[in-house]
Amino acid sequence: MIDPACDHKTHRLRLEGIHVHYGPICAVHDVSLELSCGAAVALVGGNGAGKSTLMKSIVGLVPMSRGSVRWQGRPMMKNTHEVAYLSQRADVNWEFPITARGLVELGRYPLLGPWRRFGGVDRQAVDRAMATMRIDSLARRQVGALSGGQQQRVLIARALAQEAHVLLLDEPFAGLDQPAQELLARLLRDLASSGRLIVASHHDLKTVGDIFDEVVLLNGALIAQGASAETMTQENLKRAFGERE
Amino acid sequence: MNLITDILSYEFNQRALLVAVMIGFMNGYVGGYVVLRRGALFASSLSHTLFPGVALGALIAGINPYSALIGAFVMAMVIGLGSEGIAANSRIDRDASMAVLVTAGMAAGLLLLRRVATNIRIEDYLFGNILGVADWDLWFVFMAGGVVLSALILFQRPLQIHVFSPELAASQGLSVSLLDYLMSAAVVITMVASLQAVGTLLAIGLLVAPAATMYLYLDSTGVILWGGGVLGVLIAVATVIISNVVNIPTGPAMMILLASVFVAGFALSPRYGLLAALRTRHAPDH
Repeated sequence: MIDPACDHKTHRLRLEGIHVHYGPICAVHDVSLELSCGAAVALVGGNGAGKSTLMKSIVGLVPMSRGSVRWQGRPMMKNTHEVAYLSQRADVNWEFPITARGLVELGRYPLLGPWRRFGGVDRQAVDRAMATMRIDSLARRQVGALSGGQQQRVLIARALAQEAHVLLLDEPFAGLDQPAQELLARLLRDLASSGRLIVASHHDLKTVGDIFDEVVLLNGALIAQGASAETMTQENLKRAFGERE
Repeated sequence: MNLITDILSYEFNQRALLVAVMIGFMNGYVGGYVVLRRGALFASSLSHTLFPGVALGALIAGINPYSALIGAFVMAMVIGLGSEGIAANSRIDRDASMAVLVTAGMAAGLLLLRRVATNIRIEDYLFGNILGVADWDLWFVFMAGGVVLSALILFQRPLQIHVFSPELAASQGLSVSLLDYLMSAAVVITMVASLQAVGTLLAIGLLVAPAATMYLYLDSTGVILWGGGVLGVLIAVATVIISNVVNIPTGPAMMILLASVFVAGFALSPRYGLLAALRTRHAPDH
């Protein structure tokens, strides 16, 4: 079922000529893309291809040296709650004293600001997000005591509680065992079917076609974009994983 | 009962207990953020800036409590916020820039100290003397405590997100550098307010030990912050009582209490301490 709040015909994320530099090194070179809600998109490329950097630049975590991001036809606001970035699981401090539900509740804060009361609507949004990601039974568990797959689902539930339309996921499948990967893949497909735009960096070429509708091949610059089967050609993969052009 | 009445019959003890309640709570609460942010090393370095600050104040305005507090505050703010500023605008991290600035500050402090009168009692500024606080100190401590605790409670939500993950805070549109400045300012004001009562050396202990002990037992951010505050009050008040009863200086009394509470907390914590580690090591494999 399509989420009525998310009309994927008009909700587009448009990147125009994005360049990102780390000092003299050009991490992302002139990337332009247009992605629509209701799809799961894989960012594929070798180490240092600029996948994480591109996602971080979309939400303003790293500054662009050139280019722009437009969301729903307007320049993207830095503090929009509609686009959520989820860093790699390994980068999160899982020793932090917080329960799974407490972490999901953090997703409501961009909507509430520092002082507005956490009320019934917020509780319901958190309940819904946890149910969607099937973590209701883990609500009172410390995040450090969860398995890798459960932790990843808690992070995604936080983004859903934030009412994000676009989820930018940095290597969400990294370090997960097979059943956890399969469950997460199913849930991401469901989120895309319900009208959200899922963009995830992914390195397992064998599973790309099963999980994602579209593939964006990166090697600093954009190599190719399109449906998985047509885009993952030998020629394109060689350019994506070979020397930078 | 007689003991409490005896202690309270002296005005200096009444003042000491009031100051103990405020600096105990303030340190324990602020220390919660320091521990959760893994910033104890940063705070420890910051505490070393207080002493050269006292020397600077003495050089400019003579030796008195006001110049000592203002000098310590200015020095700690300059070095604390300066290192945050360097970290925010370069690839050098906060701890590295702090290490350089503190060394420079200490050297400057020692040079300054040679130029002012030599009757500064170094021990007073290293260990403080909670029984010697004046009315002015009392007012200062309560004003500083009010400002710091109000700010931290008011901005609890963004601070909590920030200490959990600065990257998440930034991606939610929060200003990470502003929150860092707020936390550093809170630590500096807390240390300066504690200067007269516990000195520069004990300031870091009272800041970190109660919160670190709570962190070994509790799994909720809010409870760690408030629990650290309550434990800080208990330790500071017990210091005043013990130093009256046993007739030992307050500095060593507090040091012994802080160390005992933390060591006992570490040994006995059922989930995150020594006991838990030993139990896990000796658990049979299934």
